[in-house]
Amino acid sequence: MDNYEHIKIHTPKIIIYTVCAAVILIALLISFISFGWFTNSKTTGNGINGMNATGCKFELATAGDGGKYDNYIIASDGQAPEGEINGLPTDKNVTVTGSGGTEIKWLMNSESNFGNNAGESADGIQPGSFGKLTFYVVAKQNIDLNLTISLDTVLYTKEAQPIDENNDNSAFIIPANSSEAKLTKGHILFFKNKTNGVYSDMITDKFTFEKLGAKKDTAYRVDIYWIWPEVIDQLILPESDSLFSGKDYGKIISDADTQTLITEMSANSECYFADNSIADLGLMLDNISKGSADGSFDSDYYNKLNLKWNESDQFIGTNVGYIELKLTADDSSLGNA
Amino acid sequence: MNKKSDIKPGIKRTVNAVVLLALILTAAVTAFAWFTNERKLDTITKINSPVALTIGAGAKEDSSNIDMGGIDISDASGKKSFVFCVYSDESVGKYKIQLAHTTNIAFTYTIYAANEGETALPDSVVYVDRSDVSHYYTKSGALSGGYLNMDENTGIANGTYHEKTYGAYGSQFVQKNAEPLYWQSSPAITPAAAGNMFTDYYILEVSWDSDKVTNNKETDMVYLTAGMV
Repeated sequence: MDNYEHIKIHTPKIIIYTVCAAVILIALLISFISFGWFTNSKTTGNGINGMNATGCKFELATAGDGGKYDNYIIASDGQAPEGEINGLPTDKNVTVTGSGGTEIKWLMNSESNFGNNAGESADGIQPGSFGKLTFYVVAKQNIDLNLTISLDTVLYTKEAQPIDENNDNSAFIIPANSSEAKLTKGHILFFKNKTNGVYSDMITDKFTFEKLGAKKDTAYRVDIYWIWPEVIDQLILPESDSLFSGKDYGKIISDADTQTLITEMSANSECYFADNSIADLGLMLDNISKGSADGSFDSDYYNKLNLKWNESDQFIGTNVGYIELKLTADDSSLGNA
Repeated sequence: MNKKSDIKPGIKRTVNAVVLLALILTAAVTAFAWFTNERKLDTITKINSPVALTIGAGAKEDSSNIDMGGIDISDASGKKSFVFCVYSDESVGKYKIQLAHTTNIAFTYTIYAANEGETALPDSVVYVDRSDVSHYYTKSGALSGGYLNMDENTGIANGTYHEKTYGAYGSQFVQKNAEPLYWQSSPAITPAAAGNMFTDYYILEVSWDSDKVTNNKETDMVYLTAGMV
């Protein structure tokens, strides 16, 4: 009797708590789903069917060898694809994002030339280095894919080291607003295309990956070209300039990208020249870009900017130990892009 | 009597609250995962310093210690030698040495590869470092190479590199001895310790024929450069 009364007294509260929990759960789900509907105009037809346990309408895949310095960063190893995916290399080790982790280590191949391929002897990158980084977008549904791909770099001092469960390298991160971080951003450049040795469509932070009518479980290859130019001539002088004759390098970016870069260099000189007090920088760059055959060409400008560029490379090499490259692919058809 | 009846209402409430919180958190995290349409790739590599080739004085001291002032042509030996080195803290494939000089004084410039020795030999060139320690270097053979713009008959510069040197400033305005001669080693030099950091020593010998020069305060400019090829 006593026992019965006790339960009688407390049962309504349990019901209230349970009801509250259920209401809140439902409210949360409804709010998220509604949010999804209202910000996902392209994919309303898919409803919430696309939101399965592994989340995305796409995954990223990477193929090749692990990196020499992979144990300096926190990212999962990823896992081999479950089931068949068309379009992935069959002669390389392949890993994909998904239930094995949404952030995985980027595998390198012989063309990456990023100085960290565990299968090769090259160690690190320096001025004059260049390569091609490859990854694959894997569609998880028959769908139009429209992704925003962003590239971010994190720099570490030379003190960074392999990490374990007790420590990471966060203490050695070089702040993004430091001179060396800005200069590295301006000196290591990324491009979407390369034709006959000339890079074009420079990537400034983000670019769009679009694949209309992507097929389920099919991989679409994306290449990103990266360069660390040895000298500024390669970016600024006209392609056929006589100052390139007899040199083992030439112009490496398109004229359109040169113009973009000149504007960028003038506006953010601290990202390109260690000495950011260069007067008339825009004027000097314009002058050089006309070429040495032009009557107004000023060799003093040319020599000065070459020197400043090289000093900046030296500054980066002296102060930066490691560069981490993070690629983020975001479904821009949703509101959280 | 029954265990259940022993649980105090307060504790029960707390348990319920925790369960509720857990449910909410689970719901929130799950929902967030559904909407995380982001995937990332991550890699890291080492940044190397640009491979730098440096010219230094003897004992790998700073090049400001290469002091060519005060050559006294009454010196009976008819020559004066200066030690310099080319070094890098990185692996360098091959490099060239270049020498540029004006021709006001009838000096002959010769660059010899050199070895550092423990003790003074009769033909040693001595370099005294900042700590007053003497270093001894001996020639081991003249570097092969040649002038790129020397007029064979006069021994002074022809017009080949006038524009590179003076730009649009016409050669008629430049005194003939102020037109520099350019000498370059050929073939390219492989460092003594290929594949590793290295220091290669050289002796720049300035010699003269006492009949052709006088101590009349003439000056010449001499430039030494080393570059990777």
